[in-house]
Amino acid sequence: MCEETHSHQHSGHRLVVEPQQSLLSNNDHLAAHIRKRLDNLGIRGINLMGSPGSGKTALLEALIDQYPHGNLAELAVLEGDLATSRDADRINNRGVKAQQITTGSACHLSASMVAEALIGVSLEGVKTLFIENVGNLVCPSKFALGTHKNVVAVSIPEGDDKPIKYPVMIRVADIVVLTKADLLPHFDFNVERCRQEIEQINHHAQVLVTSAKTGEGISELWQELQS
Amino acid sequence: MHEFSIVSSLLDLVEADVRKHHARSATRVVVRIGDMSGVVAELLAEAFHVCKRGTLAEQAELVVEKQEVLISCHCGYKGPIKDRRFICPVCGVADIEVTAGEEMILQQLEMEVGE
Ligand SMILES: Nc1nc2c(ncn2[C@@H]2O[C@H](COP(=O)(O)OP(=O)(O)OP(=O)(O)O)[C@@H](O)[C@H]2O)c(=O)[nH]1
Ligand SMILES: [Mg+2]
Ligand SMILES: [Zn+2]
Repeated sequence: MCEETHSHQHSGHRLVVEPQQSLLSNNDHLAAHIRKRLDNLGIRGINLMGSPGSGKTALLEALIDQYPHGNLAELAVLEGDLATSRDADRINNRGVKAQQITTGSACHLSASMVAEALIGVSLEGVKTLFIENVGNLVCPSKFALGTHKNVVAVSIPEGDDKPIKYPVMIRVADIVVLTKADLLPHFDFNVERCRQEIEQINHHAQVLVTSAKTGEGISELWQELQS
Repeated sequence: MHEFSIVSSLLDLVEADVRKHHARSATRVVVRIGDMSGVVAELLAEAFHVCKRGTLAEQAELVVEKQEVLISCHCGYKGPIKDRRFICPVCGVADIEVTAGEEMILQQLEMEVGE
């Protein structure tokens, strides 16, 4: 629709064209539409990514706990849980509306899944929309969802070498959150070295250290999300 | 294995182009895959051969051109990076421009035109 084919050259019964088009241009297109819709509604969209069990849902719970209680209607969550409604239930139990995206066996969310899920959510009065992606440190990185910020959770037990081993995910991050900081005494996780490596992969990314258990770093994360 | 959804997206693009040009089918599909695109070229090729069946690219050959990461730095350096670190290998700054290597592009498409 937007990108035009460039050169044409005929050779017998063969036609050669050079589309020079991103393989994901269809997804990018839809993501741009979602983004426009969120912008029109004044909603800030957050795409939360990270390995399975890196603490994404716990981070959302902690963020909810530090949000003014009377204003929880300003938050909404789309849950990209694989096959269960557990994560969505956890969010609902905290008093925040959550819509589950059943991804079946998908390894990432796509803009079309988000567009579909958004039909089932009332966005009236919502200011921040969180999308918890499928637990995976590779696949979700290149599928734009129309959100404004990409947050990548890397947990202390996973090890400080994760960013350099999964640089493509770090490249798309606006914020890298080192989660489960309360476990630092039990693991050889060098926060400074990890910060440095993240900086060398993507110097635009903010690095924050949080614990959903103690609440450490959560208000700083809220500030970063709203900036 | 997001290569499957990337291939299905690629096949959509290919079929749309074949139809747009009133061609019969695609015969050759050339893609450029950056080393840091997040796509494994070999898996992409495998997925292509599985997924092309029943599409207008059923007979098409897939050519994957790999692209290494290239950066451009204020110090004048233009070239590859080292150790997957997006910093200038000459002066060490992180404020560089990535000019290639993160893309996945449908570069060229050859089609058979009908009578
Ligand atoms: N000690 C500690 N444990 C945590 C923290 N955050 C999460 N956990 C634990 O880590 C495990 C996984 O947490 P989840 O929040 O479910 O992780 P997730 O990334 O949402 O997992 P998936 O959605 O299944 O990919 C649970 O057992 C949590 O209790 C934390 O800050 N400190
Ligand atoms: Mg979860
Ligand atoms: Zn330099």
